[in-house]
Amino acid sequence: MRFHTQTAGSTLTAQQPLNNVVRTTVQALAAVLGGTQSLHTNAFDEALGLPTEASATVALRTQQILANESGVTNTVDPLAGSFFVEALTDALESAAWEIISQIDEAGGALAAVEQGLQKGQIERSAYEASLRLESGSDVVIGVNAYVVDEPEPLVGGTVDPQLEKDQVAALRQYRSTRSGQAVADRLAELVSVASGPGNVVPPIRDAFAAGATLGEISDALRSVFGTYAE
Amino acid sequence: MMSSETRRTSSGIEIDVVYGPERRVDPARIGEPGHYPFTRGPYPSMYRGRPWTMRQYAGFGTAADTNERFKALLEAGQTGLSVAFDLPTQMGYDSDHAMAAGEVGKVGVAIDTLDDLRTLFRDLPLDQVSTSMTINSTAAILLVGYQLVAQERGIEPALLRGTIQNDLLKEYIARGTYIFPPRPSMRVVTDLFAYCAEELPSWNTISISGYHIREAGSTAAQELAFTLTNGLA
Repeated sequence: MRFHTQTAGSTLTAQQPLNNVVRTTVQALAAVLGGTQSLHTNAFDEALGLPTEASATVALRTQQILANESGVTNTVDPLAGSFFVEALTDALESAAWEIISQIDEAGGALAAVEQGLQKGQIERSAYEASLRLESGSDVVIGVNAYVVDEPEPLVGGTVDPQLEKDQVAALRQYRSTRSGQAVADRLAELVSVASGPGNVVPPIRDAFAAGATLGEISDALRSVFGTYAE
Repeated sequence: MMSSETRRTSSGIEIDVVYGPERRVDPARIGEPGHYPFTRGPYPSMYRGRPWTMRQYAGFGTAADTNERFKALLEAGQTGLSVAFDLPTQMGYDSDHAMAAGEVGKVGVAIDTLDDLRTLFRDLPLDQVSTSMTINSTAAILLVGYQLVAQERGIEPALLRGTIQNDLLKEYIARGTYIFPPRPSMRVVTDLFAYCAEELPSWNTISISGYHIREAGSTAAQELAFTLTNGLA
């Protein structure tokens, strides 16, 4: 098993976006102190739009500065049994065990999903957090404290509307040059396997290789499995 | 603020005024680096041995745009690839489907066909980098596409290293890009496990994720409990 960490997109603010570099740095340091095996650092403009090449580079540089300049890599486990961190770990562990036993009682994760158990708990926590933010007991700099009048924010990247037209044109071109019969045969084979107990991955591969599109393969599976809406 | 008031973490865990040696951290409980319970880290030498993998999630626009960004990130010293797909690709819709309108290439790269994947990975050393794909409901299609592209270039599937997210339960709990009902979704997940054991032995076939659970507003304890129980399911 390996573990990967990502800094929290939900903590990034559209207000005073450069502050997000600092937030991401603190979170990345926490991940490294926790011994992460791989890490994604968010770009500071993600609350505004797509990361630009410049903001994506700053996000990567944040990791490189931690690795090469901060000194955090020079010793194994720099927090080494910190009284506070160990106490938090224990508290978190016992709180998590309590929730795990609720899921076990519900019949396991899949059954709990079908009952909406996890979703309901998350919604309650999210609501409580929004109340704390509103009341000011949780402080977010630039949002409910140290707010300034800002000019139009530094806008992140946006998507050119031409892109969708080009993508659709390429897709139609692709469909027009493949063998329609081969695609139909492979999709029929996929439907047949999906209806039985066999492994669906080899017929997915054969259909994709024969020129079926992602949407057509997904439709073939929808026709057997049905769709899901809450 | 008064110094005596109760303070809590953002997850509601109460924090004492000061912590000290009376807590008696048992050396046996934290263990040694590289050994159970891994409190001190997964490897004996940790980052003195080698730093963590710097894996920036990227993807936008067309396959050609994202291919350029990947090349720039590898040149800038990134050590692994990580692909973000647009919503239609995650939901199993082609770019010309009515449900795709306005979303093509927006939050990630748009992939409809094997040709798109050929372009996405053009000139990238697939036998040397590891590639993470944040993809769930359509993971099977994109993973076999990756395999087909590598094979066309003469790369043995056994050499391919990477990860697909393929964690469907958290889609129903928090993230929302599910297509089928939970049970058939879980069948595709396990079919992928079996397929990869045969064909792509170096591939990580699932990445159980707490990230989206926390992003949806959970506490740390909920994140931990739901993620672990999803892993067990």
